[in-house]
Amino acid sequence: MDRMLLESYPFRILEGMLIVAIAAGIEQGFLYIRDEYREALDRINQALAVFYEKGLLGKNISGSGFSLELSIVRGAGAYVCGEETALIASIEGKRGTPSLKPPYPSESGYKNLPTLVNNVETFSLVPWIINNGGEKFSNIGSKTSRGTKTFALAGKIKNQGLIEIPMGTPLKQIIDDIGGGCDNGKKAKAVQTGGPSGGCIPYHMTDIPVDYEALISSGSFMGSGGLIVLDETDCMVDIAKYFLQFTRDESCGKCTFCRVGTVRMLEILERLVEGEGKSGDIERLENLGKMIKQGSMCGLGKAAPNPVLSSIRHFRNEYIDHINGTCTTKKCKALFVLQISDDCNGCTMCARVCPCDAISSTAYEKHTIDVDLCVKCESCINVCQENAVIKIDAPKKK
Amino acid sequence: MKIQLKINNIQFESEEEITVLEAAARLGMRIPALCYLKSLEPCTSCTVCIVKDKTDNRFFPSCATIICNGMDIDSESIEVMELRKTSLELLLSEHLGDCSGPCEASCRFDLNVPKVFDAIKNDATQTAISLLQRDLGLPFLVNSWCLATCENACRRKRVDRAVKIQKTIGEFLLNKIATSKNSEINSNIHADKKEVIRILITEPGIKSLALASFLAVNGFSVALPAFDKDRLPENGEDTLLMDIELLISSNVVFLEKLPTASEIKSDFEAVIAGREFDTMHDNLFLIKEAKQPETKKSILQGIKQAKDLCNILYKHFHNKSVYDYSDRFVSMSGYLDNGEIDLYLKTSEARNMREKSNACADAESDAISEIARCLQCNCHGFEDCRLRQYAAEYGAERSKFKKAVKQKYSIKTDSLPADISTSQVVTYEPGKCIRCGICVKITRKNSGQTGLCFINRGIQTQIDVPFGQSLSKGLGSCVHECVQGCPSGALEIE
Repeated sequence: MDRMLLESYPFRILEGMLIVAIAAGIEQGFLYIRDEYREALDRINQALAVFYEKGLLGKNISGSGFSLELSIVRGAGAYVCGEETALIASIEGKRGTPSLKPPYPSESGYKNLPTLVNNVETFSLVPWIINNGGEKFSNIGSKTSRGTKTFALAGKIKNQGLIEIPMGTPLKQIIDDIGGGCDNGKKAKAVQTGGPSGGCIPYHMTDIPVDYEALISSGSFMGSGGLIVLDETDCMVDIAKYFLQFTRDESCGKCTFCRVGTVRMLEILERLVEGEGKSGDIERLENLGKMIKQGSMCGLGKAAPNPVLSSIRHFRNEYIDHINGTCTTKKCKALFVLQISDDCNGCTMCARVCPCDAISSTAYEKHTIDVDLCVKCESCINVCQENAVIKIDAPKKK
Repeated sequence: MKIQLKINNIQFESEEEITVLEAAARLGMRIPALCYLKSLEPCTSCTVCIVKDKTDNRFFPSCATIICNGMDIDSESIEVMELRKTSLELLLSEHLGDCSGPCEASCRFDLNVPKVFDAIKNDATQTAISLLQRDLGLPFLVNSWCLATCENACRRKRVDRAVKIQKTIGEFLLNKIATSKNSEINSNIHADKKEVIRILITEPGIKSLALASFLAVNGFSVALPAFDKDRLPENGEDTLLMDIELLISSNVVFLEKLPTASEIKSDFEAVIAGREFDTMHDNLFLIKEAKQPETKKSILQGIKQAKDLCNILYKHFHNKSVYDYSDRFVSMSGYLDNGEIDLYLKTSEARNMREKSNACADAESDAISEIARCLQCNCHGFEDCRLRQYAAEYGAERSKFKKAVKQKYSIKTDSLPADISTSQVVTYEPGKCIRCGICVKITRKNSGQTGLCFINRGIQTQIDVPFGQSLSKGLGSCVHECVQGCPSGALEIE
């Protein structure tokens, strides 16, 4: 979403930064952009060139006596460098690890100078507020969360893409009206807000308004503004594992709780998904998750257990099922086997697409799948016109 | 302006902007910290020093947080203790290495074999003997009779054959003690003790002898009746007589007859008596000697019991354990594969090479060459390992969070440059490193050198020397400071 702003509205962002610099008496600024965002880098570079050419940046801007130098710092693509102290360390050429606050960057930041760090979206809203007045801006949105917010709507939803909505819009309205509901007539199950370290909110709770307080009270947060819709075929344990994998990989490795704790949590999730869960695993996840939140120093660690904790909170049954060796959504490969039902009309389609010759077929006779050869790629399910390939619970491991 | 705050409900005032950890220290409260060194900027990595501010329910590392007005710090509640324990357990889940070698870990008498070997190797006869006496009580008897579980556990067995621990120690004892004058050995045991606690043992059996030995080596003055020659065990007469010789040299007094009741009261701070012995004393302890002739096994068991009794007495008088095995934390890496054994072998060879090249290697006895076969697989940072100390203090469980896949052992060995030391080898074991970065910070002082650095991130974070340089190049002149600063036994000099 921020990337879209950088690519599509570079002037708006630079203008915002310029206004902020005048307001706070700032003379030097950086745009910290990940190097993978080539388009964003190009656009911002061009926009900067225009600003400098027109004399809107540099020394003594338009004869006002005010000077501002802006430059781009290309980040190497670490998620944790979105944390302000890590971002500053990275700009200084150090290892991108967060440091303890206080001191906050506003007291001692870049090269120990007072530093203002804001998000792209924040800067991009500044010109509108200046032009239209703060009152007009605060008229939009809910009582506590003012203005608009951009979300990246994704997942199992018809209309995917970026949306800007007034704060306080009910989550359900975003999913059903703007997003157009789930694909293929499936039912929505939950929505993951706040990116990989946010939490999931079950569909039946989505009548809450989208504002900071309501999201936090339901176990998630606004975060980066990601909205990922999950449908009834998604396994919550698998999803939690996926998000935790991301935070594990993106942990900077400084604090014990985040560095080691996330890995230990992930190992528990991995064994659940493999059908090797032990009783007490849910409590283990909850305890460790709580402690990681308390013991970590930066936002990444404090939020890393969120996907797991919120999915346990709202979908505890699925976790219990996994400990018992079943996955209700049949998403976890170790917990189901494929079988051909009596609906099979013997068309041999499945046998032809099977990459490992696991299906023995005689035309016009019911086919069978050799479980030992099957790699569960589900190609047969996709080609079968009769929906005769079904998933059943895997036999329990000894 | 004075900063006022509360730490564990005790008011604290200061004009200086100090950290919460320092403030607590000034109030006499110790907050544990692994990655904190007073001389360095805080690393805030280990999170063991975590405390809670009750005013806003925030948790933070006390080593780096500056005190503020109105703080209400909690560093003792169960919640905070649990966090610390968990943080230690998480560190331990990534920890690979034995606290003590398998020889010590398997020994019924907890004899620190590598330490004894070290003393023998360095010709520190007295140290070796008091180590043996401290743990075995009657070293001649125990060493000759024990089942040598240490040799069974020895890792060297996987390379060729186990180190002959029992034989080496036995020969050492015979050679050294038989040849030297007994009075020279252990003669200064009480030299530095001002007030010696005097203890009377009234029984004349083997268990009492062992107890007398344990007590004597731990600084008590002991008197007991002369050993009843009839009680000499079969096949153990010679060894036990040598043990008695050793006891005499340890200032244990053998009495011709037992003192009277009034003498007991005035001359002894404690009495250890059999059930039949009739006395009244404030510190009366019971010892049970066997009436029947005993088997080897029961005698060894009796000596073990004597050791426990010595611990009880020590606790009674000094308020702390001297044999603290029950509440000690021990990490164990368990089974090692062949590649891992080879690493141990190479490291111990490197250490021995350095030593040999500097000592006059001609007069190498059998014992020394046998000792040289020891893989030294015990932890060399055992004594000052803060990770182990805190783990014991907080009752951390070694395997609470078990790693799904077993870690591979690795070690880096490098000889120190000649201008620092010619006989020492520096080792770095990533499995014991807690990634705190103390050494990284210290080596920044090496001007003109790269020092050490972090590589990778997340769980893959490693401490390494940049650009593939050697370990001693990375450590440079800070090597001793780094080894000292390392909170676990990851960096060691041998």
